[in-house]
Amino acid sequence: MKTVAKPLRTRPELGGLDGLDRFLRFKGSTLLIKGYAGAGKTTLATLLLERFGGGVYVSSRVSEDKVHAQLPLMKQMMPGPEFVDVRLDLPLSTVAKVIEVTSQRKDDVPLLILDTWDGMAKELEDKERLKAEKTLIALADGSNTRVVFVSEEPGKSTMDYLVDGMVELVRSEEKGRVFREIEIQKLRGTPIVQHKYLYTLLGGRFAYIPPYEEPDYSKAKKPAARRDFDKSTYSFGSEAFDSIFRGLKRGTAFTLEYSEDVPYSAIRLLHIPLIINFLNMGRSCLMIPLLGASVEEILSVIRPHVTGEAITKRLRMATVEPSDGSALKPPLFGMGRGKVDNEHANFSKVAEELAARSVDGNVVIVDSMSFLENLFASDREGLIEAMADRIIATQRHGNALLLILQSDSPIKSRMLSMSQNYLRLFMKDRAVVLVGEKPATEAYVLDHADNPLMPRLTRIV
Amino acid sequence: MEIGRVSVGESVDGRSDFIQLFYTSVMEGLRKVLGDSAAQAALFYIKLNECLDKPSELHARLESMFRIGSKALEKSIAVELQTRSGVSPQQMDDFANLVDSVRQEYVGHARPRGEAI
Repeated sequence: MKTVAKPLRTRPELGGLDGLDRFLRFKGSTLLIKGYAGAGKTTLATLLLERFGGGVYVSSRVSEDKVHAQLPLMKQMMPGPEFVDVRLDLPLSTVAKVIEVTSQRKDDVPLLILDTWDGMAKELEDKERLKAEKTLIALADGSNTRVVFVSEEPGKSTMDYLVDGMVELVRSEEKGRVFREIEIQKLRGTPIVQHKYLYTLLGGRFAYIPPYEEPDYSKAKKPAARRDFDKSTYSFGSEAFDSIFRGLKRGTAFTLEYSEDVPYSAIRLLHIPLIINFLNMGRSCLMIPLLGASVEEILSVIRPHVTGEAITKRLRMATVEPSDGSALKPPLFGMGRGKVDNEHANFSKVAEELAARSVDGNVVIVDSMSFLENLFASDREGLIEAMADRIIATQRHGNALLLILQSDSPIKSRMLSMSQNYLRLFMKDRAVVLVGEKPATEAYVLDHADNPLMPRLTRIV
Repeated sequence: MEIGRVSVGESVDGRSDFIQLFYTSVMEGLRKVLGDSAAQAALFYIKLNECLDKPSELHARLESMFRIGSKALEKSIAVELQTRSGVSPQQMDDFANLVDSVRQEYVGHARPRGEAI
């Protein structure tokens, strides 16, 4: 029967990582970390050492100096882990070290890392290796030391069956972008709710990406106004997007493509700060919300952070005209199921009115293509013509146009061909991933910053 | 075999027949369960020479190292000891008692030859 130690201090990098934290509270537990070279196994092991406030790190691969140079966290730890270099030793030295750590010391060692066990065991015959592995497990079992085996062996090995817990780090590439996933394969005695998570090694630290969570807008704070980059570039209203895309060029179309499983609240992280920033700079905004989104909800998110005048005079949001013929109050305006030309003309008129009320005549237009595609499903070519006209008008007036496009949109390629910038949002391991396609960027994970209105982008490296 | 500067394969030359037999049984019993490398590593910390006369001490050292796993090791040592000594197999309730019992039986047979115990 294993004993449960006191709860550990949680660290954001590991806290909550599906049961791993809880699993490692069991003294004497054994964990296998698998993955190819470069996957971040040693970085994760280092995080575990930090988590337990030190331990013993047995290395068969690199010297202490190199580990310190490559993993700053290892050097920063106070007290640092005890480093044992067994690169030139026999496997029996490793077993001897495990015996010494697990049973011969007066003070308990919370964590022992064998990096890599394969490197130590490859000199052994299969039968001999199996016996050595069983011995190591027996030594850890019932001791006060958690033993972590690091392995570079792909596929199944005997260790898979012997250890209490097993995680695999996988590095993959999609369209030239690196993705990293940690797969929790087993944690004896601990339930696993989600088996796979994205993680990043940004800054030489292992950090897993928790699932996307809906924001609590009641905690939102008014964002600080962000000025234009220069005469030809607007700010997105958020540092995160500004730093990656260098702002939004005047007179251009910027397209955001999203897969159908991306939460609307994640898509709003791009355009809500943009709209609030525009309104707070005295400019205007014209918006066609995503199909199925609550107009009232969007307004309730924007309203606390802008003036009443901005809402009634400089913001307009399209909604389907009420069937009972009742009038809509500003900032809402109706779009009917009439001909595309007529509706486009009405839309342009509203845009002109907003430009007249804008402090410098500039307007940001946020168009949800799913709304328009469904409204004008019978006249697809007419819609494309109207959108082309809108993009031309945007160029002429120096406005900003943000197109929000579902990834399975039938007019996607036509719209993308008219867009200067283009990014994609999709879900991976329950996280929202952002990839810039024009210009091409690395993969980022998109979630809410401390201020739930604002985006936070974490690069996957 | 040496780990660091300490010898694992301690000499038992000059000690009694039974001690030599027990020594070999422990080495072989551990090797069969743990394998060569792990057995040598374990012997290094057990310091077998110090507890060849005191099976209860060997039991304590094995238990502190392997905890519940020490039972399997003691069983393996006991099988080796009984096979090598030719003493009929006995039920093992207590490792130290069993070793003592085998020793008495073995010595009882051996004494007529006038050898040291």
